[in-house]
Amino acid sequence: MGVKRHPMGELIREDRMPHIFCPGCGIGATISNIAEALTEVKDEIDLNKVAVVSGIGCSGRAAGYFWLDGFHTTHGRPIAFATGLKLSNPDLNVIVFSGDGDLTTIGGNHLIHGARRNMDLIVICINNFNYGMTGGQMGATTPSHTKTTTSIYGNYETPFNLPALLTACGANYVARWTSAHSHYIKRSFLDALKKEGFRFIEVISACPVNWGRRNKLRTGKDMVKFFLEHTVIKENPDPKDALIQMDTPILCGVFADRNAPGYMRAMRECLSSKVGISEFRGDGKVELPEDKEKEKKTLEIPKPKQIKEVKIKLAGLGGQGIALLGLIIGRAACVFDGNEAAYTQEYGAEARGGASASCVIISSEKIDFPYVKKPDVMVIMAQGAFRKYRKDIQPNSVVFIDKDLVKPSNLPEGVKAYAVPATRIAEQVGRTVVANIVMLGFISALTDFFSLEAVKAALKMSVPKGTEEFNLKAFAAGYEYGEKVKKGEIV
Amino acid sequence: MGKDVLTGIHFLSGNHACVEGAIAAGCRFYAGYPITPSNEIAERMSARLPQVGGIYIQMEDELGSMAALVGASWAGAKPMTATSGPGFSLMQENLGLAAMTETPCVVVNVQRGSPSTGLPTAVGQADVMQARWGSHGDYEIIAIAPSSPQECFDFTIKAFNLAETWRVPVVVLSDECVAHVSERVLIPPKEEIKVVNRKRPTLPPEKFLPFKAGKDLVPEMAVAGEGYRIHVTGLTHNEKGYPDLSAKTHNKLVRRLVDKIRKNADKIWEYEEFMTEDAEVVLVTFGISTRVCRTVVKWARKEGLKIGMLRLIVVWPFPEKRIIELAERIKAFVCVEINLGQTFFEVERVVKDRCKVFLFPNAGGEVHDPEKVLAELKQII
Repeated sequence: MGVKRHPMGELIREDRMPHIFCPGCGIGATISNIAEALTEVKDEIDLNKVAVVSGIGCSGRAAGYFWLDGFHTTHGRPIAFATGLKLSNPDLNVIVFSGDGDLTTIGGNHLIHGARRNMDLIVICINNFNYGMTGGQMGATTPSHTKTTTSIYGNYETPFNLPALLTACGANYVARWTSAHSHYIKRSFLDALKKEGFRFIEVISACPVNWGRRNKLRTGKDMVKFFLEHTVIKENPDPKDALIQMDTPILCGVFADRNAPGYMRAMRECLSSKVGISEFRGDGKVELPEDKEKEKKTLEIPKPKQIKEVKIKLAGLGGQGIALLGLIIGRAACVFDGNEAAYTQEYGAEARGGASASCVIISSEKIDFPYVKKPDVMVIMAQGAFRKYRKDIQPNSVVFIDKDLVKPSNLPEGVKAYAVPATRIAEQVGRTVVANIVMLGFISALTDFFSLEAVKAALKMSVPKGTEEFNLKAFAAGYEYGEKVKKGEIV
Repeated sequence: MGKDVLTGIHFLSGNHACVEGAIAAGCRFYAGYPITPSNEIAERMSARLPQVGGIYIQMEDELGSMAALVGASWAGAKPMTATSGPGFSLMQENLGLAAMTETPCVVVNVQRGSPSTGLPTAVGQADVMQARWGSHGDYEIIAIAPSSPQECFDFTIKAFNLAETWRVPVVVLSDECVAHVSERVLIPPKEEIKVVNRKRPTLPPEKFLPFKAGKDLVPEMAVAGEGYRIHVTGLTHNEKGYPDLSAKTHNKLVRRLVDKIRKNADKIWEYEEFMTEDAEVVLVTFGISTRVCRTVVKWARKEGLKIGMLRLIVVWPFPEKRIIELAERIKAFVCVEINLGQTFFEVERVVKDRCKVFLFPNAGGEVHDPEKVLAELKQII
């Protein structure tokens, strides 16, 4: 005699039967409803591309019973997991099937953000009012005044009104049924399947063993009877009336049915025109357009321009472009002169608005220790920065200052100071913001830390597009001033 | 636009170099949550991934980021996230899921001063033990520690290759200093970059067992949407992937997960030695502290002191064999790390009484001062 096939055998892992669900539990019935629905559309959708993701709990076991790709993840995280799955292979239909404790309590953050993003997922939330797997504790969906193992005097918290929550968060589709409403669940799921975005179906489900027996609904039959007698199905129900209370009928129906762009569509619509690609997916299966620039087959590294290692510290106030100055110097040395450079910034609470510094070491050798403790050169663009960093000026070192903004005093022995009215020159060029670039030109004229071509190339690369010529003009003005200082025309 | 490998000479921060390494290795999925000092990774990923047809998603927290990574990997992606201490703590839950379900993925942890909120903008190296066993239970993963932007590029590629080869989460144990120093980064032509992909099923769905391992203890990996109808669970599972909560199956599975790394450690270990040939004292270090130690070794050698350096590239699994070999012939190891003793206790455990083991502790906020390290070294020699 042959063994009878499970009626849903095509969609159920028969080799995992018997299942773990208690007599009277509503989860198995809901799994059957979804399996029936999928069977109905098996010629329209590829079942090999349907994945079920569950969290932890009784309903969390669902992913293990569907004969589909199934993922039984961590407690509360199935929506986040499913987000990664869907975005990496958008061809998948991803169904999250899990419980109320998992999805709305420990996983509440992922639920509201999944709905807000309108992530392209169908979420089936089995709401049995308690944590069944662990013995029947209360949760964020336990109706007020009902009893659980952790609310033996009655629950004095207010549960979530899930249809209102999900509708408010922006889900495209929000419906509620009970596990006694098989045909509604099936139809609702098929409707959801045709849509994009976040689709949420709450199924109020029987749990006679752990919740029912503590609330005068001792058997599965009692619970089904209760659901049929104490529910009301409405056309266009108002989500704000959907709070579950034991003394009023449970409101069921479709609370939201909209067609806002799902996450994938919103992403494509935003990005496509900006990056020139129309498909986005995490699995790397996007063909990139042919690169117009000829692919570099070898990497040519310019011979290092031999220089003695120099440690430069740049200081100024927030907004003076000190960080950019350091970056340009580093780029000039590394990218164009073939040298090594290490650039670091001094962070700290006072770095916003107050005086801040960045450091660059340039060397033709590899740099071991990338930090500057005793700078050979200091560049100071403001008096506040001078006050803060004067302690770092070493005897016999070189100091570059903005002539108008820094009045140096008490300099250590043997310090050679070069002064340029960088901000004033920048103002003459057109904008004071390029004072840092004037300073760069000035330093370039007076030192051989980097070649002129290198620093100009690095400058063009580092400033906003369209401002290159303006910045080069500022650079030239600083350079010219430096040449005059070098020749002794200006002191 | 549309370039995945930016062949050329660059001047990049460690964080930016990590991104380019990831994309060169085939990463097209990033999920993360903002946290200092890792933000430049997320920022550059959000700009770069769309250019190569990939996905950047900013999640609601690090719990979700890590869960999304595991999901992405099971859809065939090579996923990455980046974070720092507090976020790394939140990721431990789903790092455990990744270890249990043998999911390749890469987590960059840019270490900052800790515990708790600690020093958000300053350096620390005190997440070494957390990288190893931050999630509950017995498992082994791989951690790799770069010391420069160039290594952030190179080692992120390595991290993906190790993750794909051994089917484990790989932690790139970066730190605030490495993350924020900008240096020259050479990005080679695409053909010169070695990229490894996970083993794929060699059997058809009806014969395939998703958690049956080969000789190397690593199973072949089928992903969602290929018709294999896989079942993946964080519960103890048999070779079919089905829950099986017996002690026998649990022992078989967990022992394999651990042995997969322990028994293959000689294929995973990677370290750098500097002047250890005749060294009497060897500094043990990793990450940014490598650069302090190299400076110290050079200075010490100028003074005729026989100091060398063993720098851990792969921190986990711990290079026990090499440490024992060195311990047999040197006088002492000195651990230089920005914490109050993490690899130090590992070195002590491995060395036993073969030689002395010292720690130069530093609770974080700044790197060790090379001058002070040298002075302290002279005191113990």
